Amino acid sequence: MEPPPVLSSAFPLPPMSYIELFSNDNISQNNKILQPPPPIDGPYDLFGLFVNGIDHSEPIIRPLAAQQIQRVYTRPDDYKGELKKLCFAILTNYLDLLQIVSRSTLTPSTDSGNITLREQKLNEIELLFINIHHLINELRPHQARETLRVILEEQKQQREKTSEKLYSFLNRIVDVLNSAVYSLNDLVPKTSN
Amino acid sequence: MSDRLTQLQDVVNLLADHLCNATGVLQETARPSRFGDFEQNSTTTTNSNVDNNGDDYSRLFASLITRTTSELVALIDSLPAIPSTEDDLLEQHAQLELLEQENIETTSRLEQTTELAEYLLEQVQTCLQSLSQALLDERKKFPQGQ
Repeated sequence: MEPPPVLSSAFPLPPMSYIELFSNDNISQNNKILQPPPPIDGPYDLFGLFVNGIDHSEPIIRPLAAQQIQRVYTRPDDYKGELKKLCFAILTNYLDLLQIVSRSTLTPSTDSGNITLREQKLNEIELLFINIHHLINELRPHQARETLRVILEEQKQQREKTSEKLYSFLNRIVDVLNSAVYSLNDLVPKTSN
Repeated sequence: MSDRLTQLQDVVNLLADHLCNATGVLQETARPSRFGDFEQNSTTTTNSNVDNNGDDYSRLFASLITRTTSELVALIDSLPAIPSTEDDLLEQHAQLELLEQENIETTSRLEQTTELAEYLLEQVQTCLQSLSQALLDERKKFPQGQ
């Protein structure tokens, strides 16, 4: 006779001390169910680095580029136009850099004699790239809001569909039951008295 | 496939990579340039940038950079309209709040329907139970099908 098959799974068991808190009895009694901990307020530890908590007074999602870095694009309204302008500015500056590097590398720049022309041009290109990334990042909150909107729509549609289907099923069930009762009434002979 | 903004940022980084690689490779593989008036012994006939292997790096990098730039411009054009004024932001906010409200309503309706379904289930189960009990009792009373 073969020994009965041992129930095994490829995955380790879930933490039993945690799961036992959520047994059916506990839930029906509403007995001190563990709530998820609330989001942390204030500074916390992120990958070994201390991070300040989210400051709700400032628009921290989009830190201002003017804090450390010069803002190059002029009108933040026309995102597409400014992005394209930045893109072509990068290309033209690159051509300038090539020209500088091919002619003479060590010419001091006209604006500030400390750095060479090449370094000045490199700094300008770096500034342009930082600006273009910052402009793209400024679009992120809008993207997040739109994603949220789409998710809410989908949830709403799904819930409406489910409740409608369930309702129609219930109606059908009630109809079937009623017809069964009526046919039963026909079968049972009427008892006098 | 990542979202469009991440794609955009990836293409920008790719452009930066191309620019850096182009300068590096062209500098490495460039033929020595001529001095102004100084006469050189080896007078070369061709003046192109073609490498020993016949690879024209400058043309290759030029095409790479222009292709990346056109990709970038196409991606920028494909971005949807983005609200930038205060009114648009308020409208978006109002839409989100309305959606949340509707979501709560549909949830409560779904919960109600589920409760109704559970109640019906209970009723049907008790009916079935009493029916089967009655059948068993009848069969016990008349064991031989009389």
